[in-house]
This record gives sequence, C-alpha cells and structure tokens, in this order.
Amino acid sequence: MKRYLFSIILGLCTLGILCTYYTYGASDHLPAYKLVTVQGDPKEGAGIELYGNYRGIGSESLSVNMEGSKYRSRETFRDQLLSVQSWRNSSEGMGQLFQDYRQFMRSKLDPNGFYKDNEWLIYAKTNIGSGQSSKKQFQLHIDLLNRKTNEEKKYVTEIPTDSTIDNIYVDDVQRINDQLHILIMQGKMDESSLYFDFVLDMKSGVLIEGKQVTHWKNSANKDIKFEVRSLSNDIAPNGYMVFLVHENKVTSRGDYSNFAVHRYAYSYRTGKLFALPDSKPKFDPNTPYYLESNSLVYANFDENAIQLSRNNLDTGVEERDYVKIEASELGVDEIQSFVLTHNRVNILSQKGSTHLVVILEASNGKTLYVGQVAYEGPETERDKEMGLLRLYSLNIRETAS
Amino acid sequence: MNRYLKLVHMEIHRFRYILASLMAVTMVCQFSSFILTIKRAIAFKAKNGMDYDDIGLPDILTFPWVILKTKEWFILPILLSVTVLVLYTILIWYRDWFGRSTFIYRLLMLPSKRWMLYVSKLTAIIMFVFSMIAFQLVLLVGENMIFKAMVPAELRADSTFVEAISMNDALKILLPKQFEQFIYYYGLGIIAVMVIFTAVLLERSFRRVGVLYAIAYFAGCVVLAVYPVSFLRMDEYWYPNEIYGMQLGVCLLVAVISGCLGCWLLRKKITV
Repeated sequence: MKRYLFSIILGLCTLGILCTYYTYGASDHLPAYKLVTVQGDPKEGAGIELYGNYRGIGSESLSVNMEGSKYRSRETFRDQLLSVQSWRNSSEGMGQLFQDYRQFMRSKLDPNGFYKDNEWLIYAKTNIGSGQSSKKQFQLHIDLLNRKTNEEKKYVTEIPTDSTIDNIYVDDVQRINDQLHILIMQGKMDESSLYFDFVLDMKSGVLIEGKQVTHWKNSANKDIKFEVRSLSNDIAPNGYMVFLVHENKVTSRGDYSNFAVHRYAYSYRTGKLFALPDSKPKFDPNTPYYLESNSLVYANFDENAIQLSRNNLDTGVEERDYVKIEASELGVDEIQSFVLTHNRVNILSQKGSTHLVVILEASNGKTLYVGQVAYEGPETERDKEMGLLRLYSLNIRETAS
Repeated sequence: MNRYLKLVHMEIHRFRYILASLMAVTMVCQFSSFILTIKRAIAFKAKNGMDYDDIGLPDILTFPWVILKTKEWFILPILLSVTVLVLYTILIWYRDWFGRSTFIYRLLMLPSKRWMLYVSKLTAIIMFVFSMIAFQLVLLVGENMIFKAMVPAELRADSTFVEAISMNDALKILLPKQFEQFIYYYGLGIIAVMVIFTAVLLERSFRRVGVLYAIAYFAGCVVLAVYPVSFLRMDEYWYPNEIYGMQLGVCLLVAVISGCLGCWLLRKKITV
C-alpha cells in the first residue's frame, strides 16, 4: 500500500480539487436580472428580449427577458449549436412554422421565400438549372403544403431571365386567388438589383407571365447610385410590396452619402408600381418601417420622441405624425431603442439607472404594457448592480403559443 | 482490478519526474511574473502617489488585473505542458518498445488481460492532465493569497476566482465556467488520446504499412468527429438539436471504435 501512496495522493487530490472548484469556485457570481410587469398584460411583454452589457471587472454581454437573464460567457457548446435555431426564428411567425411543420420546413431557411395563409403554406426558392446549353437557366422550386389536408405538392418552373446575372433571390411570395406571385430580385455586380414578378398557376405551376417591376438602374454616370430595398410583411398575406429607393451621391472622398429616399408600392393585384408621397422634411435613411395589410407605418424619432406616420396603400393618403410618443409622457429620461411589429411599438427606455419597456398600440398610441428590469438579489446591492447594467436594444422573439 | 491499478501506478511512477518538472516550471513562471508585476505596480504607486493615473494601471488593483498583465507568463508554461503531454501520449507506448530491455515483452507476458495495458495507459494520461489542471487551480489560490499579502487593503478590491480566470484565454479553455463545457472539452481530449493510442498500435502491428494505416485512421477519425458540426450544419437540412445528437453519437462511436480496435490489436496482432 505504501508503494502506491504517490499515485493515491495524486488521484485523490486531483479529484478533490476539481470537485471543489466545480461545486464552489466556478460560480461567476454575476447578478441576475428580470423583466417584471409594472402595468398591463404580461403576455404582451413575453416576447421582449433586451440586449446589453454588465460592466463589472470586465464587460459581460447579456440578454434579459421575463424569464431572467442570460450571460453569453455562460454559453456551452450545446447552447452555441442550438442558437442557430433562434436565427431561424428571427422572422415573425417562423418559429411556430418550425414547430408545427417540422418535416416540411426542412432545408427551408430563407424567410422571404415563405407565404402562409389559413389554407396554404408555400415556399419558393431559385436554382440554377442543369440544362445542356452553356447558358445559365434559372428555375423556381415551389413547395406547397395544404394546411387543412396536409397534402404536399412540388413543382419546378423555368423562368426566363438574363443569363448574365450574378445573383438571383426570391424576395416575396404571395397568393392572389389561384395565382402565385413570386417576386424575384436579380442583379449584376456594380448594378442595382431589378425586381420581377413571376405569376404562376397554383395548380399546375405553369408560368403565366413574368414582368419587370422596378426600373432603377445604375447608369454610366457614377455620381449617383441607386440602392433598392424591399419591405414585405414577412410570411403573412399582403397585396403590396413597398420599395425604398435610396439615391446615393459620390462624395469627394469617394464614398457614398445618401441624399434622397423615394418610396414606391407595387400592387400584386393590379400589377402597377406607384410612388408614395415624398414627405418633408427629408427622409432619414434609417427610418424604421412596418408594412401591415394596406398600411405602411414608419417612424421619425430621437431620444425624446417617436412620431408615427402611415400611408394607406389603397387610397394613397398619408397621415403624418398620427401618433406622437414623448419620453416625458412615458415618464422616462430617454428613449433608447424601439421596434415596430404587428400593430405594436416596443420601446426600450431609461429612467435614472432603471430600464423600462413600454409597448404601445401602433394604431392609436395606447399603452398596452409597461415593464421594468429588476435586479434579483439583496436590496442593499440593487443600486450598485443596476448602475453596472447597460441595455442598448430590444428584439421580439417568438414565444411558444 | 488490482492489476489494473498496479499498471496505472507504474505509468504514473514512470512519469513522476517529468510531471514534477512541468509543475515546477509552471509555478516558477507564474509566481515570478505575478510577484514582479505586483511589485512594479506598488512601486509605481508609491513613487507617483496613490491617486496618480497611468494608462493601464488602475486606481485600485484587483487579482484579475494582475492575471491580465501576466497572461503571457501563464500561457507559456501551459503550452509547454500541453506539448509535453501530447508527445507523451505517443511516447507512453514507444518507450516500452524502444526503452531499456524492451519492456513491452514483459508487459505483454503478464498474466492479465491485454486490454488492461490500453486502459491503464489511458487512465495515466487522463491523470496527468487532470493533475496539471488541479495544480493550476492550487497555484491560482496561492497567487490570490500572495496578492492579498502584498497589496495593502486600501489599494485592492475583492474579486471572484472566475473573474480572474476569464482574463486569460488559456485559463478560460482549461477551466471552463460550466461543468458541461468541461465535459465537452476533456471528453473530446480523451477521445483524441484514444485515437492516437489506436494509431500507434496500428503502426506497431503492421510496421511500415501500419504507418499509412495509422495516418489514414487518424485522419478518418478527425473527419468523422467534425463532420456533423462542420458539414451537416452547412447542409441546412438538419435541425440544430439533431446535429447536436449526431455529434455526440459520432464522438461516442469514434471512442468505441478506437477502444475496441486498440484492444483487438493488442490481443491479436501484437505478438512477442
């Protein structure tokens, strides 16, 4: 026994030290925070996720929601791998689809390619065909799922496009009666992208027509460069698509500065593209937008106030500043960040060292929910720990329904 | 069981001087740089006044700050220890063949199961790794005590052990915060040791051709082990929880194949 003393001591000490460390020493003692409801229905705040840093000795990234706080430094290999799931759920309604139609949703990742209504779940993607010709042939792969009968259908349709293009994507999918409208974005290097609406028969997948929707092209005159952004309503049905056309001017330093933003709406029903009124003062290129049914909601904001305006896409009427949300009315020092979602304005604000979340109805500015980030620990440490917390942004994650 | 423990003890005994040397080098490097950094900081404060602000020198000294300032001297001995242990993973077999009086003949002639040789050597390597980790933890406790003894109370602030570890990337990998992550890191390490053992036994069994088998086996295991997270993830067909399950399954498969193949080679292919 004495002979083996060295090995026995080494083994026991090693085991003892490692067990002690992981039982008592490995705890990081980082403070816990939680979003608590102050006013309104807690369900409204269930999807809110706040992001920021805890500035103790080092800086620790964290997120806070109604369930508590999560520190990035505590993530394991499993957390990192499974966090891809939350990326898949980033678009509104996607998380529920992955839960409800697990098999159909395999390999379908692009949120722009989805369409969902009460009867159908549709996914479209582009592909380069393998024809015998040396010219590139582009195909549309459409997968349809009848949500009532669970019947699946697939078809592949070749679409006539310029074979010299460098990239091609599905930007939106809509169903209008028995026709599928697939809005395709295609572009070449150094040229702005062009949008095409390909109309397919839903039963057979036969291409009925394909028409060019946008015409803004970067010309040889390199002084002005167009940049086109599209705004869809995620996976929900909508008769319109809105385009934001940024006109960028080349500066003396050689980079681009934005000098105008024009807005256009395209109606899938009529096939017409029309300009929306250019508001004064000049549009901020970072203006947040939200498209819902026939209404385009947008916001002008600073740290003291948010003004909501909207365009009725059916009538073309614009209502400027129909809702004004002021920091003083909310009882906060400053508005830090906000997100426009389904008829909601979700605001992250700060009052002293306290972070507040306010959710308002976008149609009338009525307060639906007020939440506060609270420290979960001894009251004596509250002020110190709240002072070390910095929250910068908020996001809406999907909650299980 | 008794024979297995005797074999483990024998392996530990044979490595005791190298292990002690690694521990001594680690201790000398870390303690000396740690003490010098504290001395310099205190001397600077004494010369320029307690409130003198200098870039990189905080008003109040903390244990994590000293760890941050001495990180190179922590990382170097850790890298040295890792290199020696990886090399010894191969040498633990070859020293039996090429050492004095071809010790492997005596080992293979022992009246115990041959798989015990494989398992005892694996246990010994795991013991060496974990004892170095435990020693690092003891050193950190010692360094914290030195910090408290050297820095006056009005010049220092308390901090947690984990805050100090988080200041050094090498320590963060060696001692992850979550026990689950510890299992992943060291589980993967143990599988890697098993793959190397089996590759060495392939070479010992088939000699020249065995070198090719060993290289092919090692490469095959690496590809298989990284396949789910590297390639299936890009495929986008699989859901993350399925990839996670496959990754665990594949690692387990590599471990089982390596263990079984290694023991089979020892039993059937290596002759004396």
